[in-house]
Amino acid sequence: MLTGRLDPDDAPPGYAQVAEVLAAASSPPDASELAGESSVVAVFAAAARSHPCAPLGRRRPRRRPRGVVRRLHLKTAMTGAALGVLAVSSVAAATGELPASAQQVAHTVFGHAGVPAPGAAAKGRAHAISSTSRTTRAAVEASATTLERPAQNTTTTQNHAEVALLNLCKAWSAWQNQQSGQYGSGSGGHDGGGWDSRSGGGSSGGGSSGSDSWDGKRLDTDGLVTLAKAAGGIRRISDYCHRLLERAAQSSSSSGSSGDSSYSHQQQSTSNPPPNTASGSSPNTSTTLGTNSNTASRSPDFAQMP
Amino acid sequence: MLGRSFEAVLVAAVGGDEQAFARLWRDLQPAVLRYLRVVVPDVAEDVASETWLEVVRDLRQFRGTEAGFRAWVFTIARHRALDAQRWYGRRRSVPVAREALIGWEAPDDPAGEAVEALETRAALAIIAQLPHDQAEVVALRVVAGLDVEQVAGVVRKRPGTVRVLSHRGLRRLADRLQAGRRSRGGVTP
Repeated sequence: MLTGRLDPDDAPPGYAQVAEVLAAASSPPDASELAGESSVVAVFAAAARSHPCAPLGRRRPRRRPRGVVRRLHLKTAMTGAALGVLAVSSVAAATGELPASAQQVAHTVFGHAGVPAPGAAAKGRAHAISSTSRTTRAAVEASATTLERPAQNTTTTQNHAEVALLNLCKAWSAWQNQQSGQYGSGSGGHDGGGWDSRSGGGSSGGGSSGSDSWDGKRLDTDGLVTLAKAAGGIRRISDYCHRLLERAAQSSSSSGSSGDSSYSHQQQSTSNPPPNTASGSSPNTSTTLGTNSNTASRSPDFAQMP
Repeated sequence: MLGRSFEAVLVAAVGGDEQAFARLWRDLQPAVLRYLRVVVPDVAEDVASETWLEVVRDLRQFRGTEAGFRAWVFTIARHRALDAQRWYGRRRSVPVAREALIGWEAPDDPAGEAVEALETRAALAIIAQLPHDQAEVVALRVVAGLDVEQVAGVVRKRPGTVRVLSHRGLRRLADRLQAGRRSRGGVTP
């Protein structure tokens, strides 16, 4: 019966319906289950080009992965969605070093994780998420030195973890602005999924180095992973940061325009997988039966801070 | 299943052959997706994508048979699903399964018509109603086509435990389906 091939008529008494269910569960695949092949193959091809290997059968010394894969062989032990995406979306994709066609595919598939489009990648290569490793890591380690950096944003109600996450969110927002080509421009608005166009209250400004009270450090991979953990997933980062920054702006009496304008959510220019709604729920894909909406957006979980 | 061609396909894929990799993907993706629709229904597609990313990354390091490859891929999928569960919250129960049972279960619906009417996703949603351990094992046995030993390796349990979970899962499925039938006012066995 567990093979799904037992005829319900041959099933033990009381199990005919079970046999039907299992047969349906193991039925031949339909087209929707094979969607996305070209994207996955393109990523595979890009990875293969970036890391050519000897075919099986030859003796190969066991060695550490080099190049793109090694750079993404992050010391971060954090597994999960962000790591899985980043591992192969890779520095190469994140910095736009893939061939343009593969870069576009990687962006289409993993754009929500920050893999830039080919054009934006070339422009913002220096600002890719894999750049600079120490700054945001220091922030999330909640060292006293790091925490002093954003001191002007700290209110009596914020703890150190909040401040570190706040900085991460500012870096995230600035990076998002860069990726959507918002240098020096207040114009918004691309259609796209996943990003809330709500602003923190000011024009984006969007200066390349950040005109914010935040220290201007760029978001690196560790920071992105930490942010994703705190937010409950990459797809929730925008909402999470919006709330965090909004709260900080409201509770800070001296943040002024620069604090509030430290970010603005910009919609991505390319199509993305189905977006998170403002409530933070994820798309429900098993939905023909009207399943529950997904978990509501999580409030920042500062307990997750290391 | 690729059968005899698996080894050649794997070697080619490891060597960077896109078509070979595509064959591996097409062979397993539907089953991976269905398994994930049982264990993490809300983010199944995302987790499936992440699974294949990791497969792409580590493909060169795989050694083994086709059965071992399937188990390896599902092990990756399971790990990604566990991470997703930690991030997105535990898998939610799907109360609509009752409707699925009722919708599938016309009072005088002979088994043959029910099979035709039953969508794969409805079946997966019904399986997903089981306690997580049972649902996972049933899904790995049924949709992934893994045997007891392989499932035991994936879920890191003893084969005996896997058998017990399978049996309990089937028993619970039978009970739920019978209950659905009774609630619909169908024939009570």
